[in-house]
Amino acid sequence: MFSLERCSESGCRAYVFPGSSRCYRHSPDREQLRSGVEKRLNTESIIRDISIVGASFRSIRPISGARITGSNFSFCCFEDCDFSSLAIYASFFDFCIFSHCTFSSIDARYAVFSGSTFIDTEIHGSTIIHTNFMGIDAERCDFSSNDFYYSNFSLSRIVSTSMEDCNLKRTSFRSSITKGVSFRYSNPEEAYFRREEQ
Amino acid sequence: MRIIPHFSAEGLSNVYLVSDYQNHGIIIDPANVDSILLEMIESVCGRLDAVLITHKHQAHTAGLGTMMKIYSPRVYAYEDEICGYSTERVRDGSVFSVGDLRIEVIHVPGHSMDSVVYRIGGAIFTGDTLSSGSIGSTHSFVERALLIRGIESRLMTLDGNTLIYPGHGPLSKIGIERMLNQDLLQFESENSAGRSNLR
Repeated sequence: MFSLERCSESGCRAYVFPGSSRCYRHSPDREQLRSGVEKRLNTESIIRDISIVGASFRSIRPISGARITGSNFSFCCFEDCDFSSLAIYASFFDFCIFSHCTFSSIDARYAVFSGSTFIDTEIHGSTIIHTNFMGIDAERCDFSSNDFYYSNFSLSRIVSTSMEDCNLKRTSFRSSITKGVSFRYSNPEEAYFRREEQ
Repeated sequence: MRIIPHFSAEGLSNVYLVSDYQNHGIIIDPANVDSILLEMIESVCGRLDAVLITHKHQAHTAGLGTMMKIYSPRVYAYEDEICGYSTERVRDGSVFSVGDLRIEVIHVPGHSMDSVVYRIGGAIFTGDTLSSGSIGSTHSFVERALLIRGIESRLMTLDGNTLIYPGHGPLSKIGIERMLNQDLLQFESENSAGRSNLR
């Protein structure tokens, strides 16, 4: 679990970067911290307890079977990253931007992607349960062949995106805009689209 | 602090194991005790010092008896007795410690009259009071209004980065719920419509 200590910078409520008294944004050596995290993401099999908010990462390729746990990547940008075969557990990716990224065969539990934007991103053949996608914006994405059991897509805008062959049992789409979304071979009848169904 | 969520098939609820770095362990809402949860306790802290109950419903307490037989932890709850075990009663504003973990109690009635939220550092354990995108079910409009008032005044005023660990469903943050919790947004819009009708 990442540290829940607050940044020592006056008025800043962000959580500290691991091993520091300041958050990433108020650290004097930001680029060094960012590249250190990038290196860990690319080389380590267990990435845990990181808190880095508002950083940008490009072309990340975690090793197959790597596990991200108890970490906070809020407001980060990920471009051209391949998160295939990654396990994500109890980690926060809220208000992030994922552009041209791939999540293939991932195993995500208790992850948070709320408020994030997904552009030309593929999430495929994955188990993504108990995961928070509330308020996401997804356009031209492929979210097919996934198990989204008990995940929450409410208040999202999902456009021109495939959600075919997905398990949607107890998945919430309450007040979501689903325009040009194909649910073929999925079970939307077991998902929730209104408050009364929950 | 370490926080490890565990999904329980009993009532589809979340059980949380919280521990400090001296291996003091707390279980929040022991919905169901299975071998995975026991292995988690043994590997993370090897002992259990306390059980915190957010409210008295079966989906959040069914495993308490098993926990008591194995570990004999102290039980903290708003009620003085849970599943036949006497508790250390908590009230709004109560503060107590388990190892290095300082726990604050926030009483938010509505879903049930004994519903409390436990705050440990920058994390809150909300039980059925607040989940991602929704609030707890209630039996009447009065209880719903009471619940929403409590959430608005006691929880939504916390820092936006505060992590939410609910009794059911995915994790969240206060900042996310302020923006996207539909039950709260709906109540707000109904209220503002009501106010403009009165003018």
